[in-house]
This record gives sequence, structure tokens and C-alpha cells, in this order.
Amino acid sequence: MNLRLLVVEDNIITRAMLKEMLGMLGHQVVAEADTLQSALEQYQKHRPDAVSLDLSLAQDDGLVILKALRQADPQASVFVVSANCQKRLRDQLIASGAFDIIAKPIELEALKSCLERIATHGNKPTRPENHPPTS
Amino acid sequence: MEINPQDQKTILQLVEQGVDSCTSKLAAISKTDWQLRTTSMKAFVKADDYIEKGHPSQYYFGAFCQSSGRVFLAFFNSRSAELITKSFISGSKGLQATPDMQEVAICEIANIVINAVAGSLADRCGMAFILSAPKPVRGAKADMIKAAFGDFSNMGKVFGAYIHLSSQELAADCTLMLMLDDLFVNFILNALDK
Repeated sequence: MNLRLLVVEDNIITRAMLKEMLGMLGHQVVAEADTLQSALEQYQKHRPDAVSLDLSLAQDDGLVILKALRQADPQASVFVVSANCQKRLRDQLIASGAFDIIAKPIELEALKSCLERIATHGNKPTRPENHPPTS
Repeated sequence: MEINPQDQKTILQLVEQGVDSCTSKLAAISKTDWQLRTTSMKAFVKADDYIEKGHPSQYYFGAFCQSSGRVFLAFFNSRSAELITKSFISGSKGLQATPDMQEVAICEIANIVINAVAGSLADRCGMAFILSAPKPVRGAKADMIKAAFGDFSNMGKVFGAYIHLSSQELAADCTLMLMLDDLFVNFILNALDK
């Protein structure tokens, strides 16, 4: 299943590399954001199948964005892509609704595995009628 | 603040464990091995003590991340920055290692290296914290250190560490510096006692 994704990341290189990797895996980036507000706006507008979320953004805390996205849509499949992989933080993120945590530098196999699990088991967000599934 | 020799050794060991994570991350980025060259740690240091003049012609690229009572800085000399940037983006078809791109790349590489050390500290102490997004710094070493650790200048003596890593195969170096205030050091020591 090809997924439609929102990428929330403020480093332009990581964002470009992530988009390339997602494309290689057959998925589509439908929107990008680098703040809490833009992430929520883009999520509401596109209703993606999954969200890739950086934890340490210049303007906003990724944990706050995770909670806001999950509050806006309790079914949202959000996976965190971060250099910060502390064990207790990981527990907090999972408890806050994160689907998975992928360590930076991003490994293609880790990303692939996460997205396969989202495609198979993840919570499906409700799609607006003007954004039909791509697969 | 008094840190007895045993506690100093404990903190030193904690940081050194984090260095292993650092070298692994740098190896994943550059596809070359990285080794620890030197570690220097002082229980009582003034931020100004770390402001070295270095070679006036040496230009560095780096970034620092901070949280309450702790600052981490990672930087590369210009040649090393160029080499590791090329390695970092070599997997991408659409990106090219332009000078503008180098600063952005080093910011993300520093973020990865810094969080490797910070994560090791946090895990060993059973705590969690999110550091700020990396703030880019460039220029002479003294300028970068002032930018990163300027807030510590008025705090008296703090706990400081200076770690130098290198990759022979890549012919590149990376320097990592951290400063921890006495509250944070006490927090670490108390956490380890539990």
C-alpha cells in the first residue's frame, strides 16, 4: 500500500533525504511543515495516512506537536524521526501516541519497516472526499 | 560545589560511554570508522577557560544544543566539514554539497552527534530531556565557544568536557564540548545513587 505522508521537519537536507527515501519506497509526500501551526493546518487539509515528525524543531517542541495532532485526530499515525532516542523519552512518545521512533541518521530499512507496519496495522485517518487513496 | 574524585570519575565514565554512541553515529554518516583521540574533563572550569585562540586562520562549522543547565557543542574544521557533508548527502540524488548546504548539513550532523552523547547520559540516569534544536555556529573556535557557552560565563565554575574524535580514512576531525552546571551534575549523581 502506498501511503500519503505529511513530513514535519525543519532541516531542509533531512527533509529532502526523507522525501527521496519515501519516494523510493513508493510513498507520496503530500505536504510539509516545520511548525506546530503549519503541521496542524497541513494535516487538516490533506488528512495524510501517516506523519513523519521531527522532535527538536526550531520553533516548536515535537512532543507538543505529536499531542496536538493526536488530539486533532486520535487515529493519526505519527512516527517520530529524531536524533534523540532516549529510552524514557521513547516511552513518553509511545504513551503520547507515537507509532514508532526512527533514529537519525535515517536508515532506509528502518523507515521501510515502520511504514509497512503503519500500512498493515496503523490507524487509518479519515480521508476527505477530494483526497482519495493513491493505492 | 564539591565533586569528589570518585564522582568525577563516574561522570567521566558516563560521558565516555556516550562517546561510543557518537563514533557509531559518525561512522553511519561517513561510512568510515571514527576513533576517540582525546578526552579532557574538568570538574571546575570557567567557560572562559575553554576559549582558546587556536590558529587565527582556522575556520570551523558547528552547532550547539541546550537545555536547562547543560550545553553541548559539536564542530568541525572547514576541511572536515566539507568532507563529512559530502558523505552525509552522498546518498541523495537531488542534493549537492554547496557552501550553503554545508552549514545546514553540519547543523544536522552536530545534532545527531550531540544527541548521541546526551542520550547516553539520560539513559544511564533514567531520565529524559529534549535539547533545543541545533543552533548553527561558524568562525574561529573562540567565537563558537563564546556563542555556545556564553551563558555559563556568569555562573562561576561548571563541569566541562572536551572530546576530540577523528576518522583516519575520511581524514576528518570532530570536536565535542559540553558544559553542565552544578544542579545538573548533582541531579545525575543523585539519579545514579538510586
